[in-house]
Amino acid sequence: MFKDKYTSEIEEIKADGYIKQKVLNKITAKKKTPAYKIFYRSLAAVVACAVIAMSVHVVLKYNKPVIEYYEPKSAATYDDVYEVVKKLKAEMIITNATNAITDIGEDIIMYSAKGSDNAAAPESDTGAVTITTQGATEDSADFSKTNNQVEDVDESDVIKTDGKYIYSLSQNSGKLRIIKAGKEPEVVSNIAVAGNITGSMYLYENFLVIINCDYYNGSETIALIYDVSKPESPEKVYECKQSGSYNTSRLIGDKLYLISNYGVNLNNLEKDEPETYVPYTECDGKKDIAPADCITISSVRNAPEYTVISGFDITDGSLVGTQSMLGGTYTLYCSTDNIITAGYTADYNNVVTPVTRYSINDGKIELEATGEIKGTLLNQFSIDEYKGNFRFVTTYTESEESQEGNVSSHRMVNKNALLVLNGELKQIGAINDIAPDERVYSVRFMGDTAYFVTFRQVDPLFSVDLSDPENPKIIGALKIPGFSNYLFPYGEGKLLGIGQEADENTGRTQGMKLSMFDISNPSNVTESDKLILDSDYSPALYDHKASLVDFEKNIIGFSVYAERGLEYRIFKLTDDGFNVIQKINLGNVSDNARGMYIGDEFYIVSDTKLLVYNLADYSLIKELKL
Amino acid sequence: MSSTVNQKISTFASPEEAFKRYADTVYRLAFVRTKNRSDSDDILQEVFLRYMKVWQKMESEEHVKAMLLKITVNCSNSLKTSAWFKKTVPLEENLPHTDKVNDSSVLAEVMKLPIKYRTVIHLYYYCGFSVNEISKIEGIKIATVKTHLSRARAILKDKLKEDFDV
Repeated sequence: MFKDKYTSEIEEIKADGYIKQKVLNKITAKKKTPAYKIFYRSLAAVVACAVIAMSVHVVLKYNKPVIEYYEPKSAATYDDVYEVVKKLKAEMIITNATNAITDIGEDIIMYSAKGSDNAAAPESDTGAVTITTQGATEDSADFSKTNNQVEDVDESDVIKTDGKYIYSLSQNSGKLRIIKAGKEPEVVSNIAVAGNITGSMYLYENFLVIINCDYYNGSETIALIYDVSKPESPEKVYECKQSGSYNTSRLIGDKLYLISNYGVNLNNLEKDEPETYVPYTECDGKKDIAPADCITISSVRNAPEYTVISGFDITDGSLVGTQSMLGGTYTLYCSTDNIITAGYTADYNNVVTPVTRYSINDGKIELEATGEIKGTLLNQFSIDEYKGNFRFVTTYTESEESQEGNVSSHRMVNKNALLVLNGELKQIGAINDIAPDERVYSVRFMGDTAYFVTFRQVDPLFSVDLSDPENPKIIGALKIPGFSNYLFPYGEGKLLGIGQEADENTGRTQGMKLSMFDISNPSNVTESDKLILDSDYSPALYDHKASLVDFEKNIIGFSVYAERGLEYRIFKLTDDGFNVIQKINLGNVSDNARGMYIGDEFYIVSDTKLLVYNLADYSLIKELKL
Repeated sequence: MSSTVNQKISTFASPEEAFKRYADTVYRLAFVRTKNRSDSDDILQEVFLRYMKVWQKMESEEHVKAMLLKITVNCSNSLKTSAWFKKTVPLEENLPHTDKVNDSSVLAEVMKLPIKYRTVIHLYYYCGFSVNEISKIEGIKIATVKTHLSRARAILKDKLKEDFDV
């Protein structure tokens, strides 16, 4: 039957699990609509309405937008927190008035939130699993690591290795596969991981951490900690949880910093029950709500949404420190000493990003400073810490007036800025009005110099001299067609850009592009090599961890969707430019394939297979089904 | 609206819930319309971001699905996708691999139809919408939907012969 055939064929078309996770993360991180638009539309409707429910008097009392700016501070008591949440709820009632003319009291957005029991304070966990140091001895091979932004701050990924075993998480099947590496690879373990996998995993000594998110039961972020001293039988030893949906995480040594966004259930607020409006953490089955003085009441959009940051010790599953802030986080930077969170603007007419600095130390987290910067940040690479200062590259809009004869008009123009803030998050240096009508596409800070790419049609790669934090200067601008999505340092004097080519006239993208920039003289940057690929899509355009970039071994690898399906491609830089060393066809599948090397072998790991090659000549050694 | 209904709505119609249930549905329609994965990925995100502005107005499960697909149709307007700019997209790159040597793929034939026809075939036979519902999703008159449907059927009958047994 046509219908059945069509159905079975079309159902093979699915969005990549990785793409879905990315979109889902965006949704949960951004659960709000511009308040002011809905307010003005709804105000007329509400005033005209005859039927009034209990809470409507709140609406009539406020006859102007209540977008207050709260000076950030730590709460003294739960009552302080309650008062703020209650105010935010009232503001939300206003913004939802169109939907609730007859029954405003009930029609409040119910954010996913799990009610929690008021748990007793945890006792210290004495049943810690001892750390073994297998793999860190004489014959541990040289192996590639996750493409982290900051050295010694590990970021989660779907694949990790210690040089002896490869740990691969398949989001499509929900399984953890552990493969013994080498010329005779062997799958030693293939287990189902319970829960909704976010594709975030860490490996430290004999501990493997997998982060899941439970969306159904309110939102909860769960770090599952396994002991993998015996890789053929991984054993789950601890579970650390916190309220909210997973935002991001980092691992520094044996301390896991877990960040989630927690939306309060506004239908269930009880002043005397802080667990109805305050986030919790849970270790070893014992739940604790955040202490009042670990809650920062900050400027927020009209959403009682917390950013929850907790530090856990993965060797014993205990909570070391936690901080929560009223105000969601859309991007975050983590160095070995600080976490900078970037939140949502409170006023859409003047978009600023509130930034907060937390110092971190072995799992302990302390609020240090708050500030704000003009505009919005592209991603984690737009933030950098250097010598006690914090640098940001933002895109903002400004109204520009123009006069033509008797007609004066204004339009909103995109502009970009590089801002330097000190440890107190007060601005000390800035360059504004960069590249009007363009926005930032990629950023890389490298000590005293910053490089970033803006794009409308032509890609200026800007170099900025930051040696004097109070007087940053643009020292170079290279204009080439297309743009880079990510910039990676590539040895002395070189910067690799992975991005897309674009038509100079129309601005439409025309396929992926590798660019090698010669930055030996930052004020005269040139594009020394370029390669345009016959593919216009790759996970490497959206996730810096999807690329393997290793200058020492001269390997650049990532998967692309090309004519014959998914291909993992390996490049190297030679004197005549980029050479394609290998194209490995992985079939007509949609996948999040990763490449890595351990010792003398090169591995490609996808959802369904593992391929091992000789690193020297990329001859195939073995293919394993996963 | 009663409070129980509201609570139910805010659970099932919420962007996260809707995404979990309809991400693939949206993706498939986007793919049928744009014929390439890259645009479909972009559209998937755009649809749900736009949905976040209207989700509170959803009145039922059916409303959610129809709204998502309506947004998908708008987002996948052929003028805005890279495929339009490239003028052609190799079909084989994007279709799932079938093991058969003689490719009797009905999907391949549907994908060769002009966008208006393949959209209505997809919405009618796969999504199971009525002509009435399709007219709301696509924002065109019922008579137009019927015309598209009958023309599409004629072409498919000709190409697929007995495989198009509807």
